[in-house]
Amino acid sequence: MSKPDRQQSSLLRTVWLVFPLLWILFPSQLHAATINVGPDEDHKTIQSALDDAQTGDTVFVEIGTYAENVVLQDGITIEGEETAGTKIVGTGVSGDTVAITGNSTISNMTIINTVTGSAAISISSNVTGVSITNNLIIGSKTGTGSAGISISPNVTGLNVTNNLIVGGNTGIQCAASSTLTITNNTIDTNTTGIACTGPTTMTFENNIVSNNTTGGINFTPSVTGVIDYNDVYNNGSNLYNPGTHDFNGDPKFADPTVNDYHLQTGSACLNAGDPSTSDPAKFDDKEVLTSPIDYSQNDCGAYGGPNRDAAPFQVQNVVPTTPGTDAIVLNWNANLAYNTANYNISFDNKVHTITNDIPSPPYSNSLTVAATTANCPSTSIPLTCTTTLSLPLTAPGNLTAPFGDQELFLSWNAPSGFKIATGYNVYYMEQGGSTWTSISVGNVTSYTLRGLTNGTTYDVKVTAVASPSYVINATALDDFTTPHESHLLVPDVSVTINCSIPSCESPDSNITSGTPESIAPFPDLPDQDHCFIATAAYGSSWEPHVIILRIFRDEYLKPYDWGRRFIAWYYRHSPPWARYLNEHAWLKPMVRITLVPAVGLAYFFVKTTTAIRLLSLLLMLCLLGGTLVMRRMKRSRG
Amino acid sequence: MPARRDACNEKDETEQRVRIFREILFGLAMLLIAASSTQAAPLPSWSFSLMAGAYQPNEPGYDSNYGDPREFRIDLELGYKITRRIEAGLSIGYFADNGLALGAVSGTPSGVKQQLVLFPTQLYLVYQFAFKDDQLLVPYIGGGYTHMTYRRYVEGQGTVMGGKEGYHGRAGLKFLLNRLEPAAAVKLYDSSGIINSYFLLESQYARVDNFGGSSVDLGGWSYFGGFQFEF
Repeated sequence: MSKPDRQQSSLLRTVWLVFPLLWILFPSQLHAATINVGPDEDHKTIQSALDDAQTGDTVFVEIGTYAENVVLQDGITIEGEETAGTKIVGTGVSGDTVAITGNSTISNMTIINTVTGSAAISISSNVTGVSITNNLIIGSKTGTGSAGISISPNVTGLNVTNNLIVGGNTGIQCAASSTLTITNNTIDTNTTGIACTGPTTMTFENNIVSNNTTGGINFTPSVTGVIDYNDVYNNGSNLYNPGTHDFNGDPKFADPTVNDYHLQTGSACLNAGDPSTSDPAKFDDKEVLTSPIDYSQNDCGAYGGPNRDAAPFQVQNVVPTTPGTDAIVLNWNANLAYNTANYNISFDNKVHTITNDIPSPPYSNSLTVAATTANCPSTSIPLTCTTTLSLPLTAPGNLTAPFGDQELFLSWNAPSGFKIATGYNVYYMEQGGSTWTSISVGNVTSYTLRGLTNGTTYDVKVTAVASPSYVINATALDDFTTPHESHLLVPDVSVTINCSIPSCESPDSNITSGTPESIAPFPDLPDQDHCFIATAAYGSSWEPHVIILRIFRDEYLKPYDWGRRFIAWYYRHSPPWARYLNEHAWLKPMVRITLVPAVGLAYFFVKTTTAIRLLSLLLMLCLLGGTLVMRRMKRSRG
Repeated sequence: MPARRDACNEKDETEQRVRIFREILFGLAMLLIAASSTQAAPLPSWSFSLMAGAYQPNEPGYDSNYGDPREFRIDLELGYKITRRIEAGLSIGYFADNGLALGAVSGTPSGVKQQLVLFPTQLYLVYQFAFKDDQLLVPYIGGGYTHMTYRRYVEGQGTVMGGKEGYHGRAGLKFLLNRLEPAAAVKLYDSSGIINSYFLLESQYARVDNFGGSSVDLGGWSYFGGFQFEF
């Protein structure tokens, strides 16, 4: 065996050996799947999907509220479609809402505990490698033992990052002998923010622990590790040994009443996180290079750090009103997050379905309104921004009406400004007349007016019509060079306006006129493709028999009125027969035989001179005459 | 015995004739082999041309129906070299133009769209003023039979189809590209058998009115640029 052959053989052997080995060692990585959960999916509940999931699978949860308690086993990931809209609400009977029993991940979910003494998320003893990121964890119950996250003893490698943990008895409670990393979380309005007993090794950084009534951080002395750069603000008491850079400043949350814990301008937590550059993946919230604002280090709280959800919070409380006519005044709550710069207002009068922030069909109109232009307040209540959508329906423009045979081809431009026309009316009358005839032509910008009289001049005009019903959506945009955009509202907000003109019809377009007349196609060429039956029977329009018939048609039928009528009759009735003939090819020889006399006659007329034709006629008359004479003679003898 | 001798003589003579015939055949074969083996660069027998340019129909009133009278036309030609200077071939082409039909009464443009599509098919004979194999500029003239298949579509009235016959004349000038890149020309010959490559400019005039009469003339002037490959 040559050297290359040996190498090839060795490679094949390696593949044959290694692939089954990989399959045995890492089966999940070789066939990880995504299982969707949603109202229209096979799996309506998260637990049913978890029951079917294999190690390595991801359970993707669509927006919706799922009333159930779930057990998240080893090696599975639960990922929500959108944090605020994808909710697991505990059944309220017993137990923790999400019980994590193995190495797994949960992200982008709102998880609500409904049982006193239970937790929104619990992690069993001796579990390793759990990740809890970008969740809104609502304790909701303040009774003893109730918690946002409850961590059993001997948990190692747990990462809790970018979560909002609010409203419980204890935000996070952990037991001894654990190794935990808890960074960039906002732990607010619990009875106690975080309570841990030692010995526990902890990385607790860049968190905001605020407004917890009894205590913010309650660590026993044996809780050790890196505990620093946290804002510990306005809590009942704090029982821990503060890090050098822990601080106590107003975080200035955007709107905690709707769980919007983004930071406002002036927040003590802006750029207050760990500035370490030793681990950029951990301590760079990626704002430095992409924003016009000079961020020097991470923000604290759930919306700082490299894994934060960059989308601004959904626009709240969008309310349209319709004072006066042809206008909508739109109000919404200002998003007080410090880097919310603009709002995108989309509207039209269609029905939209919105899936994964993609509207179908797309909105016909959108405009970007700066927060400053919309008079959005920066700090005070009411948090109301406002803008006016002016919607006068202007006239269609540039109406033209070139003529055709008993028809006029109308075309026009849609009204300028927003695309709000939902249809058009075409008006026409004979020039000098007094009554317009109107036709509703739908939402088009061209129309053919048919059935007109050639030689008569018609005046025409067009108006646009709009529906008074509108749907509106709004999103917030941050101030990045490529802005992040909040999620769309689902469903749209609806409003009906008052039109200044009855039926919401625009003023008239320009009036134009047109005179239909017959047309003269150019060049004036004969159609040589209409010997339908003969063409079908002989198979080609260039077959000699067909050519003979065509020449006969042109020379002996077309010049005469009766001939033209015959041609027209033939053209009218021949195509179906020809089609039938093409579909039943076995008939063609019989038709060809039937056509022999016709072709022969045509050949005779086309290929002979007038003298021969007269001579032939004379001969035929003689034969006929002779035959008659012979018959008479036979009769007289008889 | 004389009769027997005569018969033998006849047989001998026949065998001798066969032998001589075989020798002549062998000699001719050897000559052909020698001729083919000594021919370093064979003369081309075929040519293939791809030409594109403008077509300007003759028919009066064309521009008022179709606007600019010059529209794009493309032709493909395959020719056989009867001699080094005389070539016979077949060409097929395509031409399409769109316009607005005129009113039958007013003669003004209507809103009715019309389209004319022509498929010219030509049998041609060309004489090339080629005096040596690697002549840089080769003028040529020629002409032949033209059949023009037409298809005219008028909005609302449908399509008419048919064909017309006529003739055409042509004149052009070929520029031998081999002279620009001799090395590339040799490589092209080795890889594809193309002996000569030309850039050509050609003008054609066609009259396609079924050889006279008052019918529509679909002919016109064509102005082409293109490439010809001899192999």
